[in-house]
Amino acid sequence: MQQTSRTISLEDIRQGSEEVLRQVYGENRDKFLNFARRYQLSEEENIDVYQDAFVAFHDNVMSGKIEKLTSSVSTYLFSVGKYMIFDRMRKNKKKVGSQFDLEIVKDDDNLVETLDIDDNALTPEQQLLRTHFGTLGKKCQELLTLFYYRGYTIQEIMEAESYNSENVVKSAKSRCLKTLKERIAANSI
Amino acid sequence: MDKETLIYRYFSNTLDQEGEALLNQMLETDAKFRDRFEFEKSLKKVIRHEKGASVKQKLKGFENEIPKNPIVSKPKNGFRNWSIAASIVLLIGLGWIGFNQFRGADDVELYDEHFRAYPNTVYAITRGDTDMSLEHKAFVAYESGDYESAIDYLEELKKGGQKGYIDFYVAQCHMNLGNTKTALTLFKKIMDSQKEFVAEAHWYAALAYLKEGDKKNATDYLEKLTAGFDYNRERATELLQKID
Repeated sequence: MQQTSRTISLEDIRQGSEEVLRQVYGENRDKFLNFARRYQLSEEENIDVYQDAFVAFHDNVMSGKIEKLTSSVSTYLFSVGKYMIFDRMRKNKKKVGSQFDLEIVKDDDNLVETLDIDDNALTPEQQLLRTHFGTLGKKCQELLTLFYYRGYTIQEIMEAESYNSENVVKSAKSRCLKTLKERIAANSI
Repeated sequence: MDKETLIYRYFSNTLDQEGEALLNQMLETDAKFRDRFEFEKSLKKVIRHEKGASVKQKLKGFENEIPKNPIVSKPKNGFRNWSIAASIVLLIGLGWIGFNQFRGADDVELYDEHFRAYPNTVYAITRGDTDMSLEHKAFVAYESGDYESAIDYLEELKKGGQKGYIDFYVAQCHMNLGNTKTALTLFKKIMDSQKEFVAEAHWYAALAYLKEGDKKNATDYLEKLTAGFDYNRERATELLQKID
């Protein structure tokens, strides 16, 4: 079968298709690795950074932080990747000169500034929250994901998930949060 | 605006400046409100974390599907004759490659020692810049080392009207991508134009020839550079001595 690749839009990515992800990942991988090889990380680390940069880009697309592309996808990945490479080099305590100062990277690549990159690990309380979030029903998880991760309004959730009214969505959301809090409290006692 | 609306607008990205000020004030003065807000913020972080982990898992799967350098297995007895024939061909091939490699090793080393991408001196990218022009995109890509995208944007920019520097930076991108022949064509065009970056084009043309293993042309351009321009004169003189 003939392989064809088409131009991917942000909306395609937001639809969540695995094929779209695979295409964007493949299209930018070699370019990124060629770029990353100039720094002092191993090939394995470079691949790991590429994946982390890709996850951060994807996260910002899904949350609506990137509403439209102002540069090519690869430019976003390079900007985020460069930031992450320097961060790792600093953490690895490799020799980091003044040109690798993270603040300078931020100044140079203002694209990074426009994005929300959260690379902090979860606190023990958040780990507990994570465990109990996983025990919620599928409907609850979807609703909370649309609201907190995708940044949907109540009306958008009503339309996307075929709820009867906005009030039904609001009540469902409150119930889900209440259940979550109760389960965490029961676990903490 | 009540507390409920304030929190709702924050998480649905619809909070205006006034609301933001009110939110900050409430967070400072109302402990119960702060606890609720922090809980929901943590929930947001947890969901992002979950989604990120799931996407990363998928990416690892894609990575595993990409063919890596094949591991050569030991030949079996049945392949003995083929192995001998292949070895002879390989030896001849390696001999030829080795001959060329050794001949060019010094040139490549000299090239690596002297080649540095020319910095962006024509377009200032500043913090908080809202300029989304092609020029902006081109130089963000250039400074990020994404030379393929930079070429696309620069070529697009060229269609909208000639700017003296475009060919020079496109040539820089090609040098960085290893396309020395394409870069050379552009450097010669710049020298013919007698406008911007003429001296710089001589220097980079010399380096491109050096990479190609063409010492004669490399020397010619370095001599023209030292004779007619101030740019990189010392480095050019030093390189000329090394080439000799």
